Amino acid sequence: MGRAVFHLLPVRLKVKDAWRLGRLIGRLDVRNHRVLVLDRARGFADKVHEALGDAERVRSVEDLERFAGRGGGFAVAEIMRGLMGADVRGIEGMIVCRTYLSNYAAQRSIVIPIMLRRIRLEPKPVMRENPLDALRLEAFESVLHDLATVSGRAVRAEDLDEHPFTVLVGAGTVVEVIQRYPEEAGEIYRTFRDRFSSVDPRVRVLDLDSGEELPVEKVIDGSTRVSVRDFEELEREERERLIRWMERKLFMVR
Amino acid sequence: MSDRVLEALDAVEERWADDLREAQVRMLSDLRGQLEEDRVAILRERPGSGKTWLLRRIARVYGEGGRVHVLFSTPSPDLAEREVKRFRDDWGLRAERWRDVSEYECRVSLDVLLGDRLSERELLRVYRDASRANDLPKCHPEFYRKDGPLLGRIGDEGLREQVREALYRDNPYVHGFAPWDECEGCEAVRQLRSPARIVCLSFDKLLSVPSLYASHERTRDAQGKEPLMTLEDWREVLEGALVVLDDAHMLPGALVVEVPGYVPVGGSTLEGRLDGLAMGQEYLWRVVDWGQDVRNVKEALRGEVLREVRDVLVRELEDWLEELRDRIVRDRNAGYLHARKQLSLLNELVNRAEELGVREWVAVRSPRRGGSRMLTFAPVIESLDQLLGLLMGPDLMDLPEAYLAAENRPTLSELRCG
Repeated sequence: MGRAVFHLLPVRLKVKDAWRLGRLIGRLDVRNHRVLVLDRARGFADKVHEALGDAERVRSVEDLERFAGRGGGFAVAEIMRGLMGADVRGIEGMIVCRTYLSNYAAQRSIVIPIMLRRIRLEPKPVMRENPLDALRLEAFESVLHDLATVSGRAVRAEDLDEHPFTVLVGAGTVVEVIQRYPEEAGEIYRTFRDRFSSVDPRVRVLDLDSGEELPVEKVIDGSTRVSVRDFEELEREERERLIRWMERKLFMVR
Repeated sequence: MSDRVLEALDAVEERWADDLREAQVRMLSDLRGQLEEDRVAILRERPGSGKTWLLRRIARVYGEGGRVHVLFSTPSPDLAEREVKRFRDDWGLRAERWRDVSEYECRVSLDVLLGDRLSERELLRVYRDASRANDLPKCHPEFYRKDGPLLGRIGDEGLREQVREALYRDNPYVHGFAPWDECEGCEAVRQLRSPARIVCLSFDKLLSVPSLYASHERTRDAQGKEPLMTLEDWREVLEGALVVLDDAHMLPGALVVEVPGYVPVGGSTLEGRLDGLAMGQEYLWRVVDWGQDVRNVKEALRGEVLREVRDVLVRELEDWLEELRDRIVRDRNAGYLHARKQLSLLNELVNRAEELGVREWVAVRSPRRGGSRMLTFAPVIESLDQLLGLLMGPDLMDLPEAYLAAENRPTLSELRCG
């Protein structure tokens, strides 16, 4: 399996995109790979599940552990409180559609950074001027932790190079905010890397225009400007390229 | 500081000497170091490093020795179920899971619930239509819904109305949990009265446990009857207990309370009463719309607004609850029963928060969906003491011997710093 690399796609996902995203992902060849598709909302996950056709709908820790123990295929789940704590060793791909703050925010996900604002929002210098931007930076920070957690679940013990292919599709807001606040985003990223130094994680942004994978550092420091797109606006070839990229990444996992 | 916990750590190191990984040996010494200073020790290694594995073994050793309890708490009931299986089935220990009230078999028969308000013939018809309801918890709003397991099954409209009326007349559950004499035989009550050595439960459950005792005592008292269990039983459990909080970075989520906005309070609705104080979620949706005016958000997050939310809750919440109890009986509305449950929980949290010096509360109003809005309340937390006090209750939080937490994102550990 691959090392700890987390991919961000500069895409804004809306509720109505669930079906088309599901159809797109459904084209991946998963005969030999177990791919878990996650989203923060039940309705979205249901729709993706429907679009995938032949996929497991995971509703409990037990479902997930069972899925991780069988042959190839898709499973769809909500990022429920419990699932994030399950052992999912044996899963080769994690496709996260939207996490809590990465896209349109659900009410709980807004409330939590506010109730913890002393440790989540106030340390961000932009808070006083613009609390929304502080929330967006918090989204970046929480996405890093969420991806590391999701991906870390699939990795056990000392096999640190056994990370699954991990991607957050709806990372539009996150990619946008790190380009606007290079300094604060850089600080957040460095702290994250320090904390997870034992796995030496890397974050890469897929530039949809060039098809190139960029280290997030380059996006943060502004040396490459990445444009953020609405999922529904992606052209046919762009979607085509996206799915081929995913397929390649998935096959590089063992 | 806590010898008993330190001994358990040593025992784990000895017993699993061959299985422990280097990182876990480091975690053990980290825990020792933290416990020298504090009652709370927090592991913050990366996900997948074996934190939970270690906590399970510490809990196991602690639970095997002595007469003290272990409370093993997780973000969801699902995970608590997984843990109890490990303790009970794999390791053969006396362990149990505390479930949601709706998941227990009920000893209060329809006969007890409705018997003296319906004729024998009517009661027989109810049994015929809705026999399954006999075993379902009468201590849960779900039971009382119009489309629920009782009313939803009764075909005859006249009878249904009659049952609905009988259901709310002098029903002691309107005042609280497990009010009937028959509740003595209930597994939920048995667990609360004399728990197994190891109890696995979700954060939500841990949070609400003291209220279950208090609510029960209150309703029994109102009937002039002896309680079947008291808060004293819970104190005994906590005394010297080891509290494990796995995935503790999710803990703040357990302190968020949602209440339907249409609930009648103070001559208005909850939504109306909090107008101007609750932050509209639509402002915050602008997280994805750049270049929007942020004045609304800044306004909504002002300290004065958050303090005003707290003032309103402190001043009025108890009146709302009293008012709601009357409305439940008068309107026979199961939705109000649910709202009462949520408001009671909020009231409990507000009381705990007051003792802990929490001065701000945030309220978010979600957009209308299917006709009604939801209000989401949460305390603004400044310290680890406040977080644990809110979870356990300020007067109970010092009873356990130690808290061992594991987190995947610095949360408890950051709250502890300064």
